[in-house]
Amino acid sequence: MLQDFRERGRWLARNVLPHEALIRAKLSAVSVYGLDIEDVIQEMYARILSQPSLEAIRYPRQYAVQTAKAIVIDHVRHSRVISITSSGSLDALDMPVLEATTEERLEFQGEILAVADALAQLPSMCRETLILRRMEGLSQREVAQRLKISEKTVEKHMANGVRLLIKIFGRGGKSRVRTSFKKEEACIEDVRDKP
Amino acid sequence: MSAINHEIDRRAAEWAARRDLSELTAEEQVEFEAWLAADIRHLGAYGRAEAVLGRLERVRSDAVDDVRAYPGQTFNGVPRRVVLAGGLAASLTAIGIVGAALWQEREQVFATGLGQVKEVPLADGSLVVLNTNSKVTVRFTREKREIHLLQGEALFDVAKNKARPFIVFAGNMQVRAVGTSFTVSMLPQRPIQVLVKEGVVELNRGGPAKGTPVRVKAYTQALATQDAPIVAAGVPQSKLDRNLAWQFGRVAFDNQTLHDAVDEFARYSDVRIVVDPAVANRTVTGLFVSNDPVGFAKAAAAVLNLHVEVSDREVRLSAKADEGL
Repeated sequence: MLQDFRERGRWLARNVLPHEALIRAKLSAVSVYGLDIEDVIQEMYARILSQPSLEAIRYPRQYAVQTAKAIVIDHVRHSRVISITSSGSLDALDMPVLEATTEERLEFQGEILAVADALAQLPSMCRETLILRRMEGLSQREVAQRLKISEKTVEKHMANGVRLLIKIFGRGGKSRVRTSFKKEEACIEDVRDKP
Repeated sequence: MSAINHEIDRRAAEWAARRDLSELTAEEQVEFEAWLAADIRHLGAYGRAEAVLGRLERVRSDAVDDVRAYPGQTFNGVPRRVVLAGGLAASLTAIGIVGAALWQEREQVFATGLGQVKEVPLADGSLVVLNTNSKVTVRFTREKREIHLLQGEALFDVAKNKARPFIVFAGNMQVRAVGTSFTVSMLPQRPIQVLVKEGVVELNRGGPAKGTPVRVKAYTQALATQDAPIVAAGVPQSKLDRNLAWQFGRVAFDNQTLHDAVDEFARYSDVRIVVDPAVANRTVTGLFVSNDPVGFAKAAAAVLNLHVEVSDREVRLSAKADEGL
């Protein structure tokens, strides 16, 4: 499966990542004692990735929600926790979410806007590194030359960018400049450290 | 997010970046596979990191200029990235300029209609989430960040900045925060309510009623009625979660009377639920879609064995005719 990651990553990018905020919102509506939503989300991606064939999944969004639900049920069984507060029932996960902000945004403004919006929240070096590498297809060396930084720093900016985007996409684009501004300083330090 | 998940995401991002940029050495490959196998969450986090890269790639190169020019959050009518236009060299030196732009002093107004919830990211990195039928004005100056809650309810997720306090004005109340997360609500016939989720806020009254500030910490609810003393009381996590369910377009009840539940629904829709006084003290528990009063009424009727009658702009709940026989 290791070789296959890139292709599967693309599939997740198309079918699951844009809905993560929605799934997260649904999960937080069903609060189960001792259950960490982040664990559920990470395990959901893992379970989907472990499927023999992703192309066989016809309704990816529902599939992702059902996977998350199955994880919650497993947790409840395993820990024998029965106090599911607030919703009274796991069926809350099945409810259509009317106010799905991520979805509305995708519908009205398009995927490009969602990506542009997320990128706009990143420190400028992280953003530019990601754009040059992933959208313009430059090599690590070319990115380094263009930005006048070391190749190692390119890798750092990229890792930082991915880490922040995981958060931003996961929250449905909710802006957290507070974290990214701190990182801005870190990114600039990187550049100075390794000229 | 727990520290562990955060750490997993960080590692996943590092691996994704490294694998994207170059071939792993044999040694790294072993390390990578061992890491993946160590915990199912590692695999999931890695898959998501790959998905992030995949999502960026979907933006074709002809849209790159649009992405670069995207303003991000606009404030005071000045798109942030416009300041940065003129290439990367400019953008690197422009961080200071962005900072300067944060201090422009024009007032912005944000509002929601019945049943709407809206997220408003602010120029300083703070986030305001407006509940139904609410209105705020935002004014940032060099010294402070001022928000006026004119009506309704809002959650404030405040970016830390000791030098520029974040102050929410609601009626004659002032809520002052440094870096924290809290809601303020100002509804007709109810005391002004401040609910603190994280950090500490300081409450005070403006004008002649001004007194000593009251400090309110996380998991505390403070109520202020006119000029009476501010009353603060602890709130358990479960209640806090219920009180914040509106962020997701939900209302949550835990043994609430129908009377109170219906009052709550009235905030979100102009479809009225009318409850027969004979059953108004029956209680409901559950999580409901806030702008769907009919759905709620039907659910409540089913659970409490009531008669429900839906007409154009009204839903009636009453005892069934045979009840009590």
